[in-house]
Amino acid sequence: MKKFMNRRSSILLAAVGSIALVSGYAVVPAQAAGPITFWHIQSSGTGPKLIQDAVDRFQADNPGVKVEVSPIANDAFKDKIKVAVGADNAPCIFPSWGGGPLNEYVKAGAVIPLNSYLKKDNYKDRFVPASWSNVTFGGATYGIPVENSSIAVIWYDKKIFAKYKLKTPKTWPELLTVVKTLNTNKVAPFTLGGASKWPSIMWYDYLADRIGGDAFAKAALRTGGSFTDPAFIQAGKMLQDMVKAGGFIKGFNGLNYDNGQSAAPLLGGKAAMYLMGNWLYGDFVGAKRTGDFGFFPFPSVPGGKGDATNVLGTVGDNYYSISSTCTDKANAFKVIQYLIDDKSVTARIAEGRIPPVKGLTLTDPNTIALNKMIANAKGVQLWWDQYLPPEFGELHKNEVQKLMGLGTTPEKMAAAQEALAKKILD
Amino acid sequence: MSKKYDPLKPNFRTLAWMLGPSIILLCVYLIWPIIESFRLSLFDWNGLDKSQKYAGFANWNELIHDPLFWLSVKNSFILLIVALLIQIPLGLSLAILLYRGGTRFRFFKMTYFFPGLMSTVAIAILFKQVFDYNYGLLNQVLQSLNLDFLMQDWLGDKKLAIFTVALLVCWQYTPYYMLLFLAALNGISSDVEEASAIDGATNWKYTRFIQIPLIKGAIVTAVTLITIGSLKYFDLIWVLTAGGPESSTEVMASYLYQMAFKSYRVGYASTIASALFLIVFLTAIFISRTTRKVREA
Repeated sequence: MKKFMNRRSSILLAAVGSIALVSGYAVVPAQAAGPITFWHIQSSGTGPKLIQDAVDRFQADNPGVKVEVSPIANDAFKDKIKVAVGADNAPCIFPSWGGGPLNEYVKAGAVIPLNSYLKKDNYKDRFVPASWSNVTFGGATYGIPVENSSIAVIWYDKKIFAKYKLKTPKTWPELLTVVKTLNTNKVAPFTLGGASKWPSIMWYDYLADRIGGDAFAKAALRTGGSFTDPAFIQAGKMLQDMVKAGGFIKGFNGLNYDNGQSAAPLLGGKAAMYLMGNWLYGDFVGAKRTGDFGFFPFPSVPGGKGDATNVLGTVGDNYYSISSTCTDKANAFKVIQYLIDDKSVTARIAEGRIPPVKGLTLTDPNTIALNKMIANAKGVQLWWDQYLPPEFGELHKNEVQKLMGLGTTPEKMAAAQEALAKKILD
Repeated sequence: MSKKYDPLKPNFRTLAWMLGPSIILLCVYLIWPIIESFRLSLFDWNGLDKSQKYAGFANWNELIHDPLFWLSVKNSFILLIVALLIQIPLGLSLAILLYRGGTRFRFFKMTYFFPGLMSTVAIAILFKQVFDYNYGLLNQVLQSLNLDFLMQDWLGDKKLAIFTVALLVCWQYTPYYMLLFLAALNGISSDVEEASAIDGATNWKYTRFIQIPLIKGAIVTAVTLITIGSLKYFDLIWVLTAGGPESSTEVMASYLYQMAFKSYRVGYASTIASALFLIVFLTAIFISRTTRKVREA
């Protein structure tokens, strides 16, 4: 009997180990007064140096204040910050993309409104107006745009286009013709990081914008719209038609973005195009092949209600917010100001970025073209997964992956999204 | 009756000092989180708000009707079955071969154990590249052998992905069980081997009727460990596929992680965690019951 008990208790112990996964919420360490803790996700390339240089300048001017900087990898950060905030142990300064997830922190009282700081010396006027919409909730602003302006464009291999005498398409039918020509020549038209999910939604979100115009805003803000609107069904159908027409490289739903897997076919000449954020330019810089690739805007859809100059993306992210548990909020704000002072702006431009401040002097032709596109855009739609509450964002990403894997229909996807919208957005 | 110090009969104070620290640690990091998970499973909470909304059994009701949860349960059991069917026979065969080979096979012993030394995340990142359809090592090798018809979209094909993952898990863990069985085989007295040789047992008969029955305890242990390990498996899957494509490799633990950290539904994630706990617990008891006969025979 004793032996049996031992065995049983050892099984119990082994089994309970499985539950420890969510136990990250269990321990709540106390927040000590002291240094300004600062997390950021500019962890690759020259990112850490950009941040550290600015912080060093701050410290030189404010010798009494200590700043502890921690660079964290993008995906790890998203989980880490959640646990930290939930445990009342958030760093003083942390980045976000604005939109739905930041709004969760706002609703939980985890970040502070920055209006009073922004009013001082008209600091707010330094920035491009379009950069504030993603961090403003109920009239209060909760983040400072710093890093870059990011929009999704179609990158293409100039040599492949020249070889098959292709012109950059302006409309969806023209794009389909390009796809056809590339397929006959055994070049995959598009590569796609389908396993990472967020690259896929760029397709759906762009199509929905081109076809439906303000249909998304109406559905998301619940002002008379619905995610079952015909525009969304049509977007789903057109995307599935693109998949069926062989628009995407074989195995795209198994490719990750983060490890460079999805960009490899474009850099290796196996695929001709990639709908991706302008940050992909960094990969071309890294490969010393900036001259081989160009970009064009997402094509218009004939009969669509959306303006063809609209872009999908964000102006100014990452945004930096100050947590409500921060013990030295005034100095924390000063640190953020150093991140986007004139020296920081110059350093970021040198890295091919577009900082969200007015009156930039740009020299790189690609950056100038991108900046022009952003300036001319009638509207900037934030990525849906960042604009909407996280639960909806996840559902949306999963549904688009399923849609492109032909595992669901546009109608079923629309119904699933509308059902969740009714539950959490109404 | 004089009080004498008897090391075999420690008094309460000694016991408290010796067991106290570990009991406290177990309570804080194991028992309390379990109770807390069960409590949270009754709440609607995003993990950030100061207040948690009591929701009764709404989460449990949702769980029972959640097709994705049941898909993740199914996938967890696929992992378990593949693991049992491959890791035990393969681990046992390798152990017997290595045992027969003795010191001559030391090189193989080290080589076979190599996957067990690698970090799971490293394995996942490595094999993400190996299984790449266009540039992956596996497909390139198949192509160079003119076996193009065998080329697969190993991780992108929703019908195939769970089996690719399950086989990779076997590749990772078989060495452990090989080592476990090898240790058990080494524990068999050489007298037994000599006696059976005198009685005229062939190699196969010796393995079948002497070796395997004598190490059945280790086999039962392996089955239990594989069961628990497979049902709560998480890390390799999360890095390799994150449950995709189209949830085809979603297992219980990855689904719970997705809910807690991606969808900000800590209440519902706690429900999944509690259900995972119950499923692992009941399965472990079932295995313990069914193997009791084997063990005690």
